[in-house]
Amino acid sequence: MAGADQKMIRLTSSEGTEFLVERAVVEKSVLLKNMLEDVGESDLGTIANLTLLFFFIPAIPLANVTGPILTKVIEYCTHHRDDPVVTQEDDGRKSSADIDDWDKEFCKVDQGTLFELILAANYLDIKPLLDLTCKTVANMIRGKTPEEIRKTFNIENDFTPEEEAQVKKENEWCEER
Amino acid sequence: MSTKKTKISTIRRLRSSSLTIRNVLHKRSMSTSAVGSQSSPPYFRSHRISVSDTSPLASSAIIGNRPKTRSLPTDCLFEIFRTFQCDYPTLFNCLLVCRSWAHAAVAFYWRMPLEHLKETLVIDNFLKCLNDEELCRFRKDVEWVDERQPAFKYTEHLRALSLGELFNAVQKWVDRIQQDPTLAQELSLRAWRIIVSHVMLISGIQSLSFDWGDKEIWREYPDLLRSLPSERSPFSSLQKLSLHYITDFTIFAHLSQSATNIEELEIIDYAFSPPPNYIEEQYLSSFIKSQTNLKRFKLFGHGCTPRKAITCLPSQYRTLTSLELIYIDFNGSDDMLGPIRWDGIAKCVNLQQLIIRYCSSATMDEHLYPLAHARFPLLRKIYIEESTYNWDELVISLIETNPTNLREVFFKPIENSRQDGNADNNNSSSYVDVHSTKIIETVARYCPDIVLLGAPIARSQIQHLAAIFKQSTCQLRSLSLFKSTQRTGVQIKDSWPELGFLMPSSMQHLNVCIEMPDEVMQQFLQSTRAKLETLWFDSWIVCYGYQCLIVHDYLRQQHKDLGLKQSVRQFLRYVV
Repeated sequence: MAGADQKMIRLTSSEGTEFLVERAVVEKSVLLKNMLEDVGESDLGTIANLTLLFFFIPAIPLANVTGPILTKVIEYCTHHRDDPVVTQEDDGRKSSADIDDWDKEFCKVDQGTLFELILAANYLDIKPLLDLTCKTVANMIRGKTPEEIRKTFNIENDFTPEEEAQVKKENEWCEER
Repeated sequence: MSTKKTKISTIRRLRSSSLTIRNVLHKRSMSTSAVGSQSSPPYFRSHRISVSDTSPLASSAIIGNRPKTRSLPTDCLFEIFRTFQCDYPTLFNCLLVCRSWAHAAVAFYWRMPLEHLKETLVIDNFLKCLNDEELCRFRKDVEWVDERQPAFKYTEHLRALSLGELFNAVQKWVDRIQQDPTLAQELSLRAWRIIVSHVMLISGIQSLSFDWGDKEIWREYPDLLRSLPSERSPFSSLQKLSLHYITDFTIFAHLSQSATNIEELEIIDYAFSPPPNYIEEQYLSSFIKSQTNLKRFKLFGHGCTPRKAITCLPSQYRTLTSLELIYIDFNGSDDMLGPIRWDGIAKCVNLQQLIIRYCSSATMDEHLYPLAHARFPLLRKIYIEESTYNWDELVISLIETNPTNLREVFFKPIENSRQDGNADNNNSSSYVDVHSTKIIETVARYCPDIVLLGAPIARSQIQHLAAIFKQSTCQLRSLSLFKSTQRTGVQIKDSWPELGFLMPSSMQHLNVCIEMPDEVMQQFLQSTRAKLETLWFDSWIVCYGYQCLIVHDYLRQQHKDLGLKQSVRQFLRYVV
């Protein structure tokens, strides 16, 4: 529970469900952080008086994120609220095996939810969440044949046989490695 | 008031037209939310996502009776495929999944394809991507007809290119199709020029290497650069530039016209004989000064004194984070110009790593004094290897002044660099300068939490090394110990098994460049808690019989028993 002095932000999911979230958690999203900075300190629910917050301060609408997915995103941002900002150089050194236990558990969701989390992380510009979810999907891909990948992700092969043969022929330069 | 209205209207613009604010605060427990059920949840039906795939290839379709999953837009597929980096077999499989996956995967698969075995196939695809005018020029020389359009414009995706490797690949391609070997060299050169020109003008090459290549291809580099139309800024995306063996310093004038955002500049074999003259050096220094974001600079001097290249580095003081100098003679031969001074380098306040290898003739008074007292608050790594003189004193001074972020300290002395000093024992000649043996003590005092340490050791330093090991926060992963006198092995052998016991479990790589009896090392391996991945021990340069068994016993304890020969060979390596 946030203390009385914590600055709170209201977020609204695509169905209109509202969430009251600490500003420090919301700011894990670069999109929202930049927006809050642009709009200003006092205009966007950064007051402690919840009644005023309710009636006078508009919530930030997130038309591309559903309530259940926003719940998961907030859960992630809350857990990682104190993490240092990851630089691109640090990030480049991490392999897809570098996923800690909490994050692994967090990603134990069905495939649809995982994809929705990737889209939400991309839309909200939360790089660590995007990396985590992408690595999780990458681990599901690695070691599988194209047909196995299609089965795993329920994808139709929309190449014509000629196209598939051409793509294979033009790109088979790595097969021997 | 009007400002406030504007700000609130900004928020309103973000709303979708159907959204209405509900005055209900959703007090949902974040950790117990019921997302992720296997049946299609309602939010999938109402969710609208704009797919940003602008590819002419259609996005993948969803089929079958399984729960419907949403196809990912190309930018998300990019993020997923980015994690594969150089995992080409996986990227190849992704290419064959469907059109939208192929569209995303091809960008990563073709970033640097020339390092692979079937490079002539890569050249086939490059040639298919040439435009009509380029093809016309090419077919004047070579009888090659392949009218099929490529499935993708592969050359657009190239991001890293080695000109030497490309020439080698083109040669093999010409050998494959050309019947007359006497024409092969000339044809290879022409084909190479056309491909390079095409690639440089249509791809956003980020990493370019003017490397040695085959058949003295480096002689062609100046003409090639001059032939590229500078008005089309062929190097505007360049972030990493590597040059091997410079024969014509005017190439820097051509590069300066569009390559001004280089982050990493590497110059190997700066000069053989004769060394570059003042005017030639000026081309390089002007090029360095024209950079707006130079972060890493590496210069292999080949024994000369690149005075201007080093003294112009302060122009990059805001951005420079890494400086690596190899095989440079600091004394130089031009008395008129005086010694290389480091005053300017000392101004590079963002420096994170300083690497000096095989450099000679640096003296504290003439060269290093300004650096010794420089403040580099972000300094993370000091790496000095076999360089003369006074670098040990510099290392100590840098540690004392900049300990906060220091994680790697490595000082490998040049053996017999001084015979007048005496580290620990009056009866033995010193291999290293007096200060060298105080590096461990200084690390223990100022930055005991380092992850990599390399330094000469003497008996007086054992207590300080033990103090580093005993730190509860000790994260040491790599340790290299060098002898300070001829008798170092004798001096520390009694303490060595105990040091093994104290050694932290985080230790992965240990290099002991000191001779000691086999039994001492056996006791060490029996007592240590460290789970070593590699060990280098000078006395075991050739490892056989009894020594092999000692190592094998240790590996068995560590559950790394891969068979005697294989596991011992993998284990006994010099890894810093």
